[in-house]
Amino acid sequence: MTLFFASVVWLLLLFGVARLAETNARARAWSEHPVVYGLSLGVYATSWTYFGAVGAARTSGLDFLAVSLGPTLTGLLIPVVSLPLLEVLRRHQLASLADLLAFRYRSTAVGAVATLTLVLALVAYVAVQIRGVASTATALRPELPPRFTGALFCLAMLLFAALFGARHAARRERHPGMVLAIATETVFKLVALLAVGAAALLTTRDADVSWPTLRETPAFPSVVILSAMAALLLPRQFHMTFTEAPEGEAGRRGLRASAWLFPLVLLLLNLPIPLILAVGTALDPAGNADLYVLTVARQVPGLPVLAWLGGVSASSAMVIVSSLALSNMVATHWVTPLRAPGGDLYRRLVLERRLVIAALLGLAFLLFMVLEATAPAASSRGGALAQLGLVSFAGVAQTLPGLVGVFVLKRLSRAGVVAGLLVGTVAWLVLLVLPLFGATVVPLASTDGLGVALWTSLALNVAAAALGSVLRPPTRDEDRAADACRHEVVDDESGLPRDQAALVERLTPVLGAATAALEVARARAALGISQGDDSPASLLKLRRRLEAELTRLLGPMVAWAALHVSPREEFTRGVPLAERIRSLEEAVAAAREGEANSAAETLRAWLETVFRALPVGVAVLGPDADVVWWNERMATLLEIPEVEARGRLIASLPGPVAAALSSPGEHTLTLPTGPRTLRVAVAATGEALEGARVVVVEDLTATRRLESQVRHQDRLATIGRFAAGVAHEVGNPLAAILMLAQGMKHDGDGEAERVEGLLDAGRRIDGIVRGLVAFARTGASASTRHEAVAPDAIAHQAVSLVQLSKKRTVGLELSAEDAVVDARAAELVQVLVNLLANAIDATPAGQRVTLRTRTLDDAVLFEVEDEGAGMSPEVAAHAFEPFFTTKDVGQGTGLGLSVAWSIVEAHGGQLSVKSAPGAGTTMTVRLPRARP
Amino acid sequence: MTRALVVFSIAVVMLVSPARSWWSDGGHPLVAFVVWLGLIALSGWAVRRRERP
Repeated sequence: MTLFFASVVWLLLLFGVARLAETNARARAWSEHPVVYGLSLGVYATSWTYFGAVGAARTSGLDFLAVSLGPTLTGLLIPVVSLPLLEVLRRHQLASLADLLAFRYRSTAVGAVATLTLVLALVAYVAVQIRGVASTATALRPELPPRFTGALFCLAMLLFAALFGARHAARRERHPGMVLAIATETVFKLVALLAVGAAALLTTRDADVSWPTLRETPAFPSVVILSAMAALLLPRQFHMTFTEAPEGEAGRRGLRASAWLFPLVLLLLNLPIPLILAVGTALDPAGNADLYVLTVARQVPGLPVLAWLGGVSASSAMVIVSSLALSNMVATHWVTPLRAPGGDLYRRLVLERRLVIAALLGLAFLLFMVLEATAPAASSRGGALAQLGLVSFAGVAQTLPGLVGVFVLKRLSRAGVVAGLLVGTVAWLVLLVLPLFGATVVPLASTDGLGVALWTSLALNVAAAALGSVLRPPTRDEDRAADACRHEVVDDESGLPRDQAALVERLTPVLGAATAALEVARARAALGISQGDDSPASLLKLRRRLEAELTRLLGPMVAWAALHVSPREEFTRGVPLAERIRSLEEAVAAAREGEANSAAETLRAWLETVFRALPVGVAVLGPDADVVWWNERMATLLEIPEVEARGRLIASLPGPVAAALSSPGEHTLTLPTGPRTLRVAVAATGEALEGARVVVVEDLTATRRLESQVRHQDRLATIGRFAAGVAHEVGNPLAAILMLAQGMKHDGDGEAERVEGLLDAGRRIDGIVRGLVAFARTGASASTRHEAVAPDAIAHQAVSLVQLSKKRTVGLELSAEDAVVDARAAELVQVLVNLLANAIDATPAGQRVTLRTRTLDDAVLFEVEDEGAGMSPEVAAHAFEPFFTTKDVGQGTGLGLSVAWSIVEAHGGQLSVKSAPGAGTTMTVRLPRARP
Repeated sequence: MTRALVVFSIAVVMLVSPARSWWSDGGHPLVAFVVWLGLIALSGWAVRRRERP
């Protein structure tokens, strides 16, 4: 009864701890602590380590340590093997070793055969755990039938595994309750075994018992290497190490800590073994050494129950995690390919896993019954646990060649791996399993028979894998999968469904119509994509998310087959180059986030910076004329931001831009900020970039404006030289005419009116000549005396003069009182008088003419604004040309504005016009501000 | 990674190569545990992530 109550209390403790971690946030956080995670890896130590190590120490000497030394070697390979494996498994949502192999080799067959090998290797060992619990219970309470204890044990394990291990439909969900429970079991068995060791120590003090001398056997190195492989490949180790690892950096930290914590736990578990062997041999020389733990525990009252519970802890942890890990693989790689779609998929997945756990435990129980019938534990002298454990390890090791091909050996194909697994498994069965039943088919050397069998089976495995890979080389899909295992981001050339409805249609054969629609709707909601959004970018994101979800639910092969289709298939389309490049950029950025820069990342970032900072606009167009890349200068020139341009077809950009980018040459575009002259050049890239084109856009606006100004200057200079020449030739005879006419008037000769007419005409010609001379001189002014003048004072002066001559009021708005310009005051006044006179002439009475002064940081502005009829663009373009006038003949010479322009240019300023028909005119003089 | 591979090589020599016989062949079992403990300590040091400056 004590045993029964102790078992119940222990079970309740186990279930309680698991339940606490599932429901309490703090307990859940404990399950992610590196120490708890490291302790949970102690599931490696089963009843073999707990009871069987003593038997192994008796039969094989120091070899009992070898099986625990291997994990120390594996721990040292964490940076090069375990951490990269963890990243690959997380990235692709893989939950087991069979998943990983199926994903890497793109083969359902590889997953199924790997599962077969692991089930064969583990089921017998689960049976031995059941036997360990049953036989030790019988050793303590002979009235307990082993079959009864074994059955109760299996039921308890089924209940725990079903409730806390197979709770979710998704296979890659973490189970914090189970992690905490397994860690608790590790601590419990450690405390129990150390307590027995303490009892042994006390006994050695009281009796004449000393530490035994233990020698290794020739199999020692093979066992060390085998246990190193097993520490990685055993389904229970793989599950706890990778599938139950905490997310993110906590998982990586826990993995690194396990390099020393896990071997330390094993060291402490093995520490009492030599003493227990010595004391057990002294107490029961002819007894079963696998039971010496209980024999020694009997020396202290109450200790046997604790010792027995420690053994049950060791066995139960192994049985729970192994059955869970195997059930995942069986359900994914054997059941799922045969399942018909329809119904509530999620409930079915959970039920399937629980049924598989029950089936595996049932099979193990049957094997236990066979073992009891053929080789009862009671009649054994020990070592059976260790022997069967090593055979199990050797079976698991057959998956090693396939695992090596995950990161190296890209030439290993699915045909090779399947061949290797099958040949290796058969060799293992023949060389190691059959001899357990007394049927030795191939006699092996007596020394290190295990090692010979192990290396022979592995050699045959590798040979078959190599031959298979040569006869059936890897396909392109396998190559891509190999790249996906080695690199964070791989370019995906598979096609996309045409739209979301086609995506649901694609998933229906796998999930059933209702579940397919539900999964697509969930993915859409998680990504914030609307139902009608069938753009390539959205479909690409949906497909990625659905692939991750389906892998979690149904395994990698189902997800891949459902969602990756050739672009040539019906109802699909290729992914536009722009979207592929953009999604690659996002994936690379996400993969590199937080990492120190590698050489490749540094180069990529440098090239991207150069591209973005180029002083010319550069865009890359895909073969479908969609925008793949768009640098910052392009965004500035065409006034279309990068985020708006990328992914769009050229034809969908605003009309003038689309036309300009489609044809090389010079284009003048009217953009929101004004007209712009651009030169467009296009270069084809050929096959190197899948037919993409590079478009280079150069801004010629400033260049063309300068050219226009230079031509204007040139024209003015020519006219100036002409004017100077005319003035010189006309001036002299004109002076003579005026003098003669004056003389005639004075002498009273001829009619007074005609003489007066002569004088008027002469004076008019004189005025024109003076204007020409003034125009010719202003280009290179004779007077270079500049002085500091106040703009407001100049403005006052000009307004006064104009108001006097034109008899019109001019509005004055002055705000340049703090400014000074370096100028010739008289010429400035002349300019303003010209502008005001023109404005008054163009403005009907009653409408305003205003002179305004303003300051900028580096300039002073004089603005003459009128409310007249305004100028058309054609008139404005010629306004500053000499002799251009819109006034009637005789009303103006057409030189006023050209003279004003020349004066302003000579002062280092600019004269500009802003006018539109019916909207008045504003003439602006901009002069550089003088610094104090 | 280099540290881990160096310590791995040392561990392979200590555990698998014939050089292990000084502690594995007939010595006191506690010697084996001390050797093992030393390797565990080295493992913890070798696999520890170096903080980047």
